[in-house]
Amino acid sequence: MRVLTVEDDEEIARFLQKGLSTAGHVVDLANNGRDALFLATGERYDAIVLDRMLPQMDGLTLLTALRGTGDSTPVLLLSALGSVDERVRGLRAGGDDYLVKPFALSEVLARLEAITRRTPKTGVEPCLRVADLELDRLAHTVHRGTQLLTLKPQEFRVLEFLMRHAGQVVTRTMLLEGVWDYHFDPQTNVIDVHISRLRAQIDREPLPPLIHTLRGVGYCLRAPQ
Amino acid sequence: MPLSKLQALRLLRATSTRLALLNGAAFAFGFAVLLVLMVWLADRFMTDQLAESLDAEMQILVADMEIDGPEALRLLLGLRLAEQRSNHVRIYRLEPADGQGAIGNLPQWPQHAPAAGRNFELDSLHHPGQTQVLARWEQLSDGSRLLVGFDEIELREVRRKLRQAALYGFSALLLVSLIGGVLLTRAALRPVEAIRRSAERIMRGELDHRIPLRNTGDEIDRLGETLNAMLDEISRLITAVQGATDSIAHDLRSPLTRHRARLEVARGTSPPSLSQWPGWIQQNLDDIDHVLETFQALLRIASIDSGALRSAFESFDLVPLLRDAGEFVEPLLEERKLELQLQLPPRLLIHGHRHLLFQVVLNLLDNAIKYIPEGSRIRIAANATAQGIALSVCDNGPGIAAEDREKVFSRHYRGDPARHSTGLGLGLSLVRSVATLHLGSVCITDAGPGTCVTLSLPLFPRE
Repeated sequence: MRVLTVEDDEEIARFLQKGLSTAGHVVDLANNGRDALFLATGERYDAIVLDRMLPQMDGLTLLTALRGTGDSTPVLLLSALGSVDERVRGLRAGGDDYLVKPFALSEVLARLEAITRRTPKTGVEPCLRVADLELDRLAHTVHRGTQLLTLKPQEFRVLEFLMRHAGQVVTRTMLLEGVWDYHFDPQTNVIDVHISRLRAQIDREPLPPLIHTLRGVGYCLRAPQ
Repeated sequence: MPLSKLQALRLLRATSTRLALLNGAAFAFGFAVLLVLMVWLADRFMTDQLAESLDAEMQILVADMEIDGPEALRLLLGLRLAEQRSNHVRIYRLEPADGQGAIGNLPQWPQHAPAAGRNFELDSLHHPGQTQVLARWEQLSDGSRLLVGFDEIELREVRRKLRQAALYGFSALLLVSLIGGVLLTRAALRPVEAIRRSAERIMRGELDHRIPLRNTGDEIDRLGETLNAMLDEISRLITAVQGATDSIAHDLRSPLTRHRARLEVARGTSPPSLSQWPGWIQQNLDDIDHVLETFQALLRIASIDSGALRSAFESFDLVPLLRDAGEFVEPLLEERKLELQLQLPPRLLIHGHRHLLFQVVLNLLDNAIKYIPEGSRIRIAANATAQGIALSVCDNGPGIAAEDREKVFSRHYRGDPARHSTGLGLGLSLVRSVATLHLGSVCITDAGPGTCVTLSLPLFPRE
């Protein structure tokens, strides 16, 4: 992917550049809003990582200007302002996702992947399928092969989220934001417990596991190689 | 920008003077209109009166002539001419048809006299240039002409006196209304000056000073009350900010010290071996994550305490929220073999902050799960009360000693210091902050055995 990274803090910018390049992306750096707008309108990028507070031109102003030109490149906003209101403002201005500083590199990578894969589907597919795992949204049933699994409503929602992002890394915060309709801080490892219960249902021995844990990062549901 | 006392006084004086002047001007204008009207009416009345007197006099003389003949008229005129007074001057001239032997005090017949029976003005004989004489003449039955005139000197005198009186009255009234106005506005603005003085004292650093109230309940007293309430709120916020700063310093210092110590040891005496390396790095990352989490939690409490989050209040049903919270912690309950009971009405509408209330219920459940033994029971109950909504999370665990019940709400309390918990010790502190945000309260009671945390929330928190 070709990623434009807009960040005025030199060290964070270098950290992002290094991390994104290591993950196989091509990175252009801009350290102020005006350069960023120039680059973003002149070149084609697959995604933009945008800091909210920038010299010369504020991140949100830049984003609004960019969206005003009809550009719909996915944008991941980075900000030290973490309140719900700020988040909503960021997303309203045209951001695709919002990440509060400080962040882990793995979180940035996972979210970049999520927003670039987000396809503008009009209807919701009734069936999700990964390998021999099948989830029917209408019938509210889950099958692994021919085996019908009985999931609790919450487990069903978690699985649905993982399957929608199949093959992608899903972090704990992405799960929290995507599955539960509240902004909160679980304060405990309750998400891990949810996943392990789901795993006990889906990945029964001796079936090849579909849900994978990436230590310190999150989870990934993918078909076995 | 602080005003000097002199400047402020001048301003106050200017305001009061302006008010007094305005008041005086309005009053004076009204009074002047009244006076002018009165003088004008009196003038007209007197003019009419003079004309009527002239008319009456003429009728008397003509009647005298008709009844008693020309000689009687001459006699009467003689009498009239004899009783002239300086301010009551009358003019007569009786002129026979042939013009010979005219009597009266008018030396000759006026040349510009109009037709008989019509009033006209003559120059005054006694006060030439000062007044006029209202006159008319009639043709008598024997062919002679009779002219009667009334000097307007009297009218003029009365008019002058009336105007003078009006002017004096007006001046006196103007003076009284000005002085009264100044005194009145001064008195009315004195409390404003008191408020200004209070504000000055607060600016000088006497933050606990409040505006003295007179308990009159008038607008200015109410203004004082509102300002005092505002000052209370500001000092509450200052205290909250100070509390947050203290907490941040306290909560962040120890993990940072630990972190620093570990780095120092690694640099100096015992650097980690290559095999220890990944674990060592993870340890440091965990430390920093802990610092960041604490920081975030403290900031969150501070922002809740500021009350600004009330703008995000909405009306919603509390029951599904409680069910969601119960469902969310279900895996934890199962892990620790705890039983969760819900005692909920079918619907319970509330006006509040949805996300924060979810967090509160979660914190309460989390606390219960952490501190009660396996196999215990937790109960979430909610119901409408006269005051609003009572929401409680109870357990049948070991309970909290009565003397510790208030302490658990402070920012750093942990029930059992020996026990390592992943929490930040801020859970209940946040619960209390959220309750306060909703203008409600939270209390811990003994569930005998066990603990009961009850939130009382008003249905529609009003500011």
